[in-house]
Amino acid sequence: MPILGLIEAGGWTNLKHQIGARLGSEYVHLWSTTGNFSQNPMGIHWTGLVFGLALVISCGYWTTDFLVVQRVLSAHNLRSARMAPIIGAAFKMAVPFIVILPGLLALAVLPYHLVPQDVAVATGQHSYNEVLPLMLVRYCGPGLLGLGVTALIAGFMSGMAGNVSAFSTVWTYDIYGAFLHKKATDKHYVAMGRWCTFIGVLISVGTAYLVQHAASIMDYVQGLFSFFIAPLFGTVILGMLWKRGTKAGGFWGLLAGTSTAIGLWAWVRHDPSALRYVALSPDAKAMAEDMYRALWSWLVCIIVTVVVSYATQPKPVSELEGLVYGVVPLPVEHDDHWYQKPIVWAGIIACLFVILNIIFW
Amino acid sequence: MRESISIWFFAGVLFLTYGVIITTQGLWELIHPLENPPVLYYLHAPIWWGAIMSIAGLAYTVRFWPRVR
Repeated sequence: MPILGLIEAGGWTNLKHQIGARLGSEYVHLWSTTGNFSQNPMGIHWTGLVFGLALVISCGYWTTDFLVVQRVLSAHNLRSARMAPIIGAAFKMAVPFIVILPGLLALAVLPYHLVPQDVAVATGQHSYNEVLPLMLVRYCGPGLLGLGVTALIAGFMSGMAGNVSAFSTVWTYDIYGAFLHKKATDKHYVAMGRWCTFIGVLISVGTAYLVQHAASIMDYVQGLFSFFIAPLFGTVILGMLWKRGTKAGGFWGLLAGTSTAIGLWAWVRHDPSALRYVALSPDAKAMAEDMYRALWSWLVCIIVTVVVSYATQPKPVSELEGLVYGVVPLPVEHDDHWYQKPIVWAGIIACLFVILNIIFW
Repeated sequence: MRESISIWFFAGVLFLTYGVIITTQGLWELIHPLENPPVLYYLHAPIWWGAIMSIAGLAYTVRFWPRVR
């Protein structure tokens, strides 16, 4: 789709000109229009992108999302575990070319304008969420269209299966087996895991209806990240790096962070003018609100965790061995060649990241 | 005794299968032109795209084929 779309649009330069003529040039820049909330389509300021999205949501996703962590934990040595997120980052940087580029191409080549989900439901027009199927229909004949739609559904199912499996594992091992029913047989835990998978699928189907109330699928996902991943990142990062952190500090910090996120969301739903406090501007849009909400919930989590930790009795360092940075013996790695060192690849990926940001500034 | 099957062999077989299906579909469309062709139909993208996938898939399938020890 991106290749055919770029051929139809006449290359990247022509694509930019066409989008500029139809909607404005702000759609093809990453940073240059983020100095003001009203100058970019996301309705966001660069502080929201840097601190809300990059510092909190992205770092939270890469360190606390069970799907990501599970893959790193299953690595067979330390080098593989370190290389996993680096390789993941390389592929993640390619995602805009298959996710965002079709959206930009749709803005340029489709003979009609796409509208937000609520407008599409009310007027019968096509919404932003339909970009991929619409572009598939545009470039694929009947046979390939079927294969393309099957591939899309397979992609959705793969993502859902991983998350449902993670849900089942966390519930059965970390909650049910650890706290609620400690002495059950393996057969019992397997049955519990299977029921959890079944219930997880039902919950997933149910939550799909919640997306109807969000501005877009992306807005819904970022909203959920701000509720759960952002405060959890605060708890995890302090728990990993700070020896003075206590059990009570972690619990109350996480609870306060999550409550803050849900409270801010409810406040704006109840009184839309509150947006100027939550997202710092009345011109902010849904995604900007999500990112600032994530930032506030993370900050509240950090502050409450630190305050409560200082007010409660810390654990002796001897009990933290193997759990907190500074009291964990790290194995020494010996790479045979310079190109096997994770730091080299991390540096290459970081350079690519900077270059892409400059190109699409 | 065969060695354990590499994940890359599995990836190669998948790529090859998809490549063959897409190329075949492209050739079918070339022989039997569609009544309502999609945009850029004249480029016959399924043929070259399917061919690239097939070659990549074949290379991985052969390279990581489980061998007898």
